[in-house]
Amino acid sequence: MKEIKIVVQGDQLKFVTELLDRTGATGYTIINNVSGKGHHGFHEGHLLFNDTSSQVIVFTVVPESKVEPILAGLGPLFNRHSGAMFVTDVAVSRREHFVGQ
Amino acid sequence: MPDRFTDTQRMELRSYVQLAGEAVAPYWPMRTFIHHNPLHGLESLPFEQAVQQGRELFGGHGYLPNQEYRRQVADRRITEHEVRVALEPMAQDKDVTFGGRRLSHLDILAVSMLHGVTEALSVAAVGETDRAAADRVASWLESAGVMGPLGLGMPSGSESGLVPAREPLSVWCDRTCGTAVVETINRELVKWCSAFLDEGEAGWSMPGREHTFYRAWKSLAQHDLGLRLLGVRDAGALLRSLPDRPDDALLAHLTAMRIPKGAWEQYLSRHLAALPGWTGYIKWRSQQTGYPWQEEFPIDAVKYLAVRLFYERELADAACRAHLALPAQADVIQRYRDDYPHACRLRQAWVAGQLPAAATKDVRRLLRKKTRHDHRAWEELGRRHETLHREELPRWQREAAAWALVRLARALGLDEQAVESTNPSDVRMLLDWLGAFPPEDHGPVWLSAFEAAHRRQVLTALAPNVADDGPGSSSRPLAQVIFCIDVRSEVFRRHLEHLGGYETLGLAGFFGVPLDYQPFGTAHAVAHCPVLLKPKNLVREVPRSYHGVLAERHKIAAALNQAATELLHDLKENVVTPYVMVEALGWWFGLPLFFRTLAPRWYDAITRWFRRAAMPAIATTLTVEKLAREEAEEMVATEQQAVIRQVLRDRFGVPGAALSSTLLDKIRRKAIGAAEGINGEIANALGITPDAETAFYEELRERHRISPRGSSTRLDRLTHTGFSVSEQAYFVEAALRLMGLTSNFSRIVLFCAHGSTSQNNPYESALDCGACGGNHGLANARAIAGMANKTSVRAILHQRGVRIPNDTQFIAAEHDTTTDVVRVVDLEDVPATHRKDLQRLLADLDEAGRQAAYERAGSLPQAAPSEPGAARRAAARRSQDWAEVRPEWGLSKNSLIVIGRRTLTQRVDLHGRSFLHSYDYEKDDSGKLLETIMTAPLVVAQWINMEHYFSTVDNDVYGSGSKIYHNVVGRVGVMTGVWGDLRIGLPAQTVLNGSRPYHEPMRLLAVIEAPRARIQGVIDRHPLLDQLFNGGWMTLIALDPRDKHFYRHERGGKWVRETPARGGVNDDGVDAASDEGNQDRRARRSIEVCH
Repeated sequence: MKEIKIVVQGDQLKFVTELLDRTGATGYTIINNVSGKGHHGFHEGHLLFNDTSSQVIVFTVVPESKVEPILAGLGPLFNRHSGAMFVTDVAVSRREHFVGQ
Repeated sequence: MPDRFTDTQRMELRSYVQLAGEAVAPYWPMRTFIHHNPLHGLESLPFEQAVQQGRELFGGHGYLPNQEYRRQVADRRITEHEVRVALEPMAQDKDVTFGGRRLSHLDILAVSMLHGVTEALSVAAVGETDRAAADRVASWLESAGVMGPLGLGMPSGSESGLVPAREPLSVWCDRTCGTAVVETINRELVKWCSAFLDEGEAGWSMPGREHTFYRAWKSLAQHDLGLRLLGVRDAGALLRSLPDRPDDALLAHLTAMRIPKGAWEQYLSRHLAALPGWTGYIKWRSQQTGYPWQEEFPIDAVKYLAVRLFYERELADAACRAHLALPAQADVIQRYRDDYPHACRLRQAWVAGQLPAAATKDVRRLLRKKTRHDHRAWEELGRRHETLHREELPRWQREAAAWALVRLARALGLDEQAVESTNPSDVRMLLDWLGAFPPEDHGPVWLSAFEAAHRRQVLTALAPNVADDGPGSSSRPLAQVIFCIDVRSEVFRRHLEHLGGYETLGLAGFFGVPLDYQPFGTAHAVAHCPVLLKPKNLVREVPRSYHGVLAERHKIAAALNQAATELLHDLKENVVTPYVMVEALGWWFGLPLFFRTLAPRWYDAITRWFRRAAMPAIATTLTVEKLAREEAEEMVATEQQAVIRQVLRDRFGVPGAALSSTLLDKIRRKAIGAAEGINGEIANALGITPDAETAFYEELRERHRISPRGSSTRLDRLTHTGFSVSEQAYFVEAALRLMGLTSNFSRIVLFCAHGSTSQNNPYESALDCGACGGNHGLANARAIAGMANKTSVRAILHQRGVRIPNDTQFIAAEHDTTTDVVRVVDLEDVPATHRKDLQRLLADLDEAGRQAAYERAGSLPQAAPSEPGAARRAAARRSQDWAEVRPEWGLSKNSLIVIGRRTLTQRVDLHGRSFLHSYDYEKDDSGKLLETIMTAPLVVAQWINMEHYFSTVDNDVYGSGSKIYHNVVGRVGVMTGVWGDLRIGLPAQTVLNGSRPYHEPMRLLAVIEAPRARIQGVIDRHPLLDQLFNGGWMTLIALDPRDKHFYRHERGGKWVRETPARGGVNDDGVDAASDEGNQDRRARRSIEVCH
């Protein structure tokens, strides 16, 4: 199993969650309003009145076969927008929860 | 053709579609109109480039026509000085002698702009003497051997790059073969989109919508006879053979047309940009979570493109084969272009109608059946035509140059002899300069001059306040009134302050409280906050507890009304009934028609009276409080017990005295499965059989929702409603701190939201509060006033250093921006001790409203009213007149946002053009408050500004044209006429006065009173702001409190000292300048709410 962490701009969140739904990820976790520094400089989180301009992290765990489609779906996006994707090996206790159809 | 694609391919395609769709701005349904930049998706580019790309994608102009700017010069809105300053960056340090005068490069460029020296001339506008002069100059140019530069008089037609990346095959085909493929595709797509995206307007809705857009289309289009008429053979079989998944269909289309992957994004982008209204709406809808129409009938850009490219693939292929004997495949077309470039250009010139008569005749001959596909013959003719053209070229250029020189001489007050007395080398240089600065490049320079002129006026107006910045008064004002930052508040605030003793403040009109608001008697909640946010708390409007009986009556009347409306709708939409209905009821519809037209105010009063009689006004309140779980459980239990008691009485005739609360609770707990009782116990007590008891539980569960699930839903609903005390304290504190209002509270603090009133106006929401998502802001004002009045909230604020005196009362109100009437609500919450304060405030609000209405009426095209009372009556009439296309100017002319203390703008007449956000830099050491203002209200103001900008500079493309021709479609938007794209932007009546702009299109000027370093820090932390300021989407000026100087933020981050007197630029070191009428009555009635 692979764990995927995706950091994207808040306004791309819908695209990412839909991508995960379509590739058959059985679930994901979202952390809103994250701060940090990357190629595009520093990104401030915790804006009081603006949800779309700060960054979010989306976590998911999928079987290895689904990593490639997810990567393909994010590739062109990351060529233009700031964001990052990390893939790591992961062990899960209830495997069947993450496999899906 | 592979019909099976992998997930990897599909996901990659989706990513490209997502990027392709970025250029199209989302389209919010008109019931909650959101002002936004039509080029929002291009904001990552600098302004000028985005405008250019907008032109390529949507065909829209990004600047006013040059002659309009010249009119502004004539009206003294722009001076020559500002034009010269704007030209400085491009001027070379060179000069020429023309007619005996030394003229610098800058002089020539300025004259060229101010007098339109190189503008195209219409034949009719040319006088005989001018023509003779130009002829003479042309022959002099020939004898002197001066060639006209390339830029003058000749359109250049060079193209480069791959076809598919630049234009879709269908566009190329239309341009080269003179077909109408794109128009046909658009018409088909409009047909399918308007049917599919209908949200309750249509009498008969499209069948099969639940299968998604693509599949519904696929199954219905098989029966579409129109396809055969369009020349698609075997359409049924073709459609059946399409893949079932839209991703696969789109991949198949792209593969079949051989569009290389590298060009997908641009290719699809151009397809999406063809109907930016519909695709913008699809984009918005597909991005929503929990939008009922989308959940039931899904559509997204991939599904749309899968349908669109089907038509392109079939129709472009048929057209290309018919005209060129080639398939519509990108590589084939590319090869044709490379092999027969002259043929290609000849065809395009012919289609564009640019060929001289002789060549047209030759082309007609070639179009005969025998030679139609003979590419060599076309190439040969094309080559011949171009050779001839090249020979003619010098003459045309000379003529254009002669015209330019004659006009230049005239502009300089010389006669055309001046040209001939000039050194030919100087003439050549002069023509080069003119040619290198063609009229289509003037727009950005004009805009910059226009903005500089505006900047100068604003800074000059503010300068006295900056110099005269004494310590603020420490005595308590009569009242503090908090308005939305909206430009219309500026007028009202000025007039209210003028009456003396009041302090006014500006804050985004949702007052910092994002909420989902469910008005009394409606089933759905609406988000009341800027679209940048998603509310997390629901607030419902409920009748005041003492209105129990009235509320029931109200409910019944509302249900009857609803039933009658539905019946009427059904009768109107039925096939047969309308014939009968017109006979029977038609005359009845004539009455409103008659009175609404001839006596709108009277009609309004009558209908209001009727409404009141049928549905009496009800005092309401908002559920701002969050219930604790125990409280909510208690409430649910009591409600359920009451229902059970009623059912027992009705069904079994059990007398009330026999029903102890213990028994009722036992029954209830059993029904919701919370207690295991011995069967029969309750039956005994009630005197019924055990079977009847079981059936009774079933009934409670099924009919009355007293079931485990029913209980938990009700509980969830109750506990999700409202705000906890700590949340309330947080929101109130944030709002007060943002405005810098943390001390010296007056006895009354009024939160004054705003909304508009107009009839028969699909754009009504555009006149409402943008910070409340295009809604009336009253709910937000009521919510925050309720929170701030609470003792527990004040106790928390006290601990955090915001001391609100016990005698301070927060009140909510709404400013009707059409009539300038302020309606104060929830007056029963005002203690008797504040009676007199309130009375005075109401009287003064009324007076300020009259004055504001009078001032604003002056700018409307109708005859200006003679006195404030007449202005108010006229405004009331406009708000009720169903034929009124311009109830108010709304946010037109907005051009400025001031973020700072009121002392900076007090007593300055900003003509209702400025957003005003209160901010006190002294109370924000960390810069966090400024960050909040700059990342939300400032951004929203920029959206509003850009919406007005583009709707004005090109009302046909970025605006929605005249309201007169609008038809509401699908309850989402408007179309012009009966077929077309959803119109984006603002109607002509909002931004134009006749054919001339009323709104002055310029980019927003933001003046922020704060140290430069703090502002810069915020910009550096936010790529969004960095993009807006460094990309030239707005201008930023800091009023640095340390030295009280204005500094302009240049692109790239440099701060340049700005001097108010000239509005021009000085180098850092140069120190050039010192530095319903009566609220009372309405308020009592209007505690019922206006939805």
